[in-house]
Amino acid sequence: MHFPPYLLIALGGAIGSVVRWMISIRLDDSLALLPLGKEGFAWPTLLINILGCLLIGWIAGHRKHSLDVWHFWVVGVLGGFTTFSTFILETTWQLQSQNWIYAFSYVFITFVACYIATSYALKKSKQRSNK
Amino acid sequence: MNETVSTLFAVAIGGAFGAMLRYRFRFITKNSKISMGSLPSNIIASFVLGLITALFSDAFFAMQGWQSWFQPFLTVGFAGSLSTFSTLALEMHENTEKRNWTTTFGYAAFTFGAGLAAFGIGFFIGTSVPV
Repeated sequence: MHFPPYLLIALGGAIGSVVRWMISIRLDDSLALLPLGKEGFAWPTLLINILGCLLIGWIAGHRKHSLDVWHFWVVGVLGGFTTFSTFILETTWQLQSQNWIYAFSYVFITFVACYIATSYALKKSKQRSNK
Repeated sequence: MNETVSTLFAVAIGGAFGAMLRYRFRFITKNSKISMGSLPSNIIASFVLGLITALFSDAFFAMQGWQSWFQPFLTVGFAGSLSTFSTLALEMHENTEKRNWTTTFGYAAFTFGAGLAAFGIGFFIGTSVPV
């Protein structure tokens, strides 16, 4: 038996978005203490996106996952948790204040780290589920 | 209602709608040989975020009481959930596996460029609207 996809997606999207919002307001001040944080380097979004990419790779690497798991966790929770629009907003602000180095490093690190996180988690989870 | 609670519900409902629409929009690119299901959603979400960011920096909207929940509903909730980085990273991984690095790089670069442009266009329209 399957649950209606849109129900799972809506529920997951709501949960993922709320968790992202809570992390960003809770950790904003402490993450600003990291290198470049004071200059506007968007650590919360970066860490949220990397974490979401690790999880999507981990789920995608499983040989068998039900459609319900995919709809709720991948499309809903992780899709709602990670964000591209906020990433673009933050990049735009850095470009506008001519923080070229921060803008470039933010974009570069986000893409490379998210790609590596996804591939790595997928490979590891594939190895485990094939054992 | 407590402002934190109303914002929480606004983010949750916006996130639910964003996720459902993202799932819907993947049909736009379903005939493509390249995995790029998240592209339309990411572009539209960037446009929406640019538009709302410009509109709500305006004094007219800032005066309204409903801004406290309507703004997070559209930005953190809807645009944040409509866009995704985890699926984008998974698609990048799939494109590398199924095709080659050039496709992956091209897809990432196109998503980034189009997202930046969409945000800019949305922001420009938002600032041009006479209110």
